[in-house]
Amino acid sequence: MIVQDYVPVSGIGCLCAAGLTLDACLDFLYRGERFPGPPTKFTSPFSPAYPVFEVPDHFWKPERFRTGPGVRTVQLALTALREALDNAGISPAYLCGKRVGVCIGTNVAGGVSNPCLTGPETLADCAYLTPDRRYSASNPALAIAREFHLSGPLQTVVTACSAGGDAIGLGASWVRLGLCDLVIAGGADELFEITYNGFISLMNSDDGPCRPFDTERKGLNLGEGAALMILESEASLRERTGTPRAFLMGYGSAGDAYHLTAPDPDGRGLRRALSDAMESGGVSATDIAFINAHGTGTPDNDRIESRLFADLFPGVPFLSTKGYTGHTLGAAGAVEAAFTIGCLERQQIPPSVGFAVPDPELPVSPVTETTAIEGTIALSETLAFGGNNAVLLLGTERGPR
Amino acid sequence: MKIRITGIGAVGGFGCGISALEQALVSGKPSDRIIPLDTVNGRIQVPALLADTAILNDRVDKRTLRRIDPHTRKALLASLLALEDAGISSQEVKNDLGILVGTGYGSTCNTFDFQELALEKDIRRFSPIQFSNSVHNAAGAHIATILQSSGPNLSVNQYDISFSAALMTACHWLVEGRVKQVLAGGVDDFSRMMAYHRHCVTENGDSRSGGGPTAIGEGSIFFLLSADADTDSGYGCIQDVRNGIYNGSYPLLPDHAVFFAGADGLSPEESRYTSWIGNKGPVAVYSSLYGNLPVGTGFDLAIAALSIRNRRIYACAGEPVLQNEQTAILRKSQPLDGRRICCVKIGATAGCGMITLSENADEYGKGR
Repeated sequence: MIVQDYVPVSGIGCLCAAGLTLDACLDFLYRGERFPGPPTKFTSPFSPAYPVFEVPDHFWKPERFRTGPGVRTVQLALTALREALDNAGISPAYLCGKRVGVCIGTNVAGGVSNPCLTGPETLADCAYLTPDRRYSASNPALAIAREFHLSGPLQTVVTACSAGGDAIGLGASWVRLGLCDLVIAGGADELFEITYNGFISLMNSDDGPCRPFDTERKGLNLGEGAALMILESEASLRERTGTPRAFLMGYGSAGDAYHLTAPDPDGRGLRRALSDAMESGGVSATDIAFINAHGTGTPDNDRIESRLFADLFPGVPFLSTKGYTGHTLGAAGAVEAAFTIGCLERQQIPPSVGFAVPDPELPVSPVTETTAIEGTIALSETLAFGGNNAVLLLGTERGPR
Repeated sequence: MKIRITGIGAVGGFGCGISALEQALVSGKPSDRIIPLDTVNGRIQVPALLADTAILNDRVDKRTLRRIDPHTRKALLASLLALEDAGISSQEVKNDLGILVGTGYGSTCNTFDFQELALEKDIRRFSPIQFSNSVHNAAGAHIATILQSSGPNLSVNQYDISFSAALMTACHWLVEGRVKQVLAGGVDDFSRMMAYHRHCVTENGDSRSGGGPTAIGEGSIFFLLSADADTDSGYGCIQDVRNGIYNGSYPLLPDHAVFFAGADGLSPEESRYTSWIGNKGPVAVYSSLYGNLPVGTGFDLAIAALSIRNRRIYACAGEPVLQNEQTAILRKSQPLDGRRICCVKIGATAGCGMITLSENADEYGKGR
């Protein structure tokens, strides 16, 4: 792995069940609150329903957007992007004529697989829509490009739960390779009936609020949300006298090559992704202030992460934020990367809510209270169905190099 | 850095393997057949180019294949054929191999069936295996597991520019030194939705181009890419890959090139090929060999690689769907004469993709 140049992050937008802006989310996390509830957008076949973390409906302000509303995932993405652009001090007009790429991770909206938009050949009650219209209505990357009349490279990453992290990693390479002045990168996903029922059928869902790394953990709660970042070249920042908020210092992606839904017991892929992220950023374990773990609350996932943290990052504090947000699937890598940068800026990490009793099988456990951190570099990692692992190395300074 | 194509695996209505694609190209005859499809408006008949993946059974054990759906079967077979074509075993690639899969529909049939179950609210019929295979990265995951490759492994989806999106990232991985080789490809199933759409379009007499829509296709195409300067299969070097959406202007086309247009008669914006390509060079269309499927550009790239290797541009197959007086359609084979080949795709969602292949001399991204 070649050491890569750091890519500035000039703006961040984030919304999920914890809040409708990144600052609101962080304030919520530090209060240690959470409000999971039954899904309201579809009917659960279970009673009581498995809890989820929904974004309150009033987040969407259609008057702020030119294009039609699209599906909920598109609305989440566009809303997060507005915050990211405001945060970067970039007006939509500024994007005209710039080389702007869009790279978005998603799970639910990755294709034409929305049930409202499919199946006219078999379902009499579905309105007929041509395939391209269905795709246009459901794809967040395309919606963003259309909303702002962008013509740079476009990519929707569909690596399930690691998609948001992978999208940021890929977007950074477009800046680094000189393909783009700016890249809009991140992830978005809505709560969806199929994934809700699917995780239950896999017995990967907790019927109560999730408990990442706790000895009684039973699985995840689903959530929804979006986080978008403005990745920008140094030249573009200089031209508009912008200021970087953070840096993407490294990115690692690796596969387990083990099983479609279960992680490799030795964490083969995650170990390599961590190593590649650190190596590409030119840092060592002692430089890491904290780790934002994937921490879904599923028994296998948490066990593997804990073992690797003990092995590779002894003494480094870590947390899972999924107890506050649920698992936002394709958005998770981006939402948690946004949290990671926010925590670096505030120099403290919130308690890992849901964790109470250490699991004797796990060598290390997450923080249980708001914890001050030292340093300017942190890791955010995501693991996914398919054995995908994505690790982002993030920093608030230009780093040790 | 030169990025070479060192192996190609092709699976489609024309057969399996790059030689089957070459035979179809030489014969110039599409091999579609009519199949029945039940719809809300009754049974319809649609022309289709369907893939047969039976030879995968000779390469992967039955126990493993039991949990693999038709979508993944196609991708797995094409990726294994690409390695075979390159003359290397899976043992030789392992950890220095990246995997990139583009798909326009995802595991469509499986996903749609699953959605119908969801709509019935019958949770008892939910199969965990079916749900697991419904994620768009299932094909990539199975390929990695069979090959025991722990390198980066991504799946991307951008409807009918999904293949060029995947290929672009594959090239970036090689340029960045993340891996030494990449298996980059695309896969899509026969889509009942698209078949019904085609039926509606032809019923209405709205073919949207001169020659009428091609048959609905399915299949997978994979390329083994290498940054190793010593490896030369004769398939040529990828000079540039672009993708994005149309917003007033398309990317500039290379000079001294032949253009392979991904027109299939179904995308609403195909008339724009004429204004994009203009009189920059002759145009060939081969979609009738592989059919309408979102990752069709991958098959055009395979045909481009064969053309480079054989130093010959093949005549369009069947009646070309793109017909315009201003476009110089290639109706007869002709020598390559050192020209580059540029595969262009104008997508249904205003997307556009462009892949430029040259015989040897060009470095990736040079002259961008």
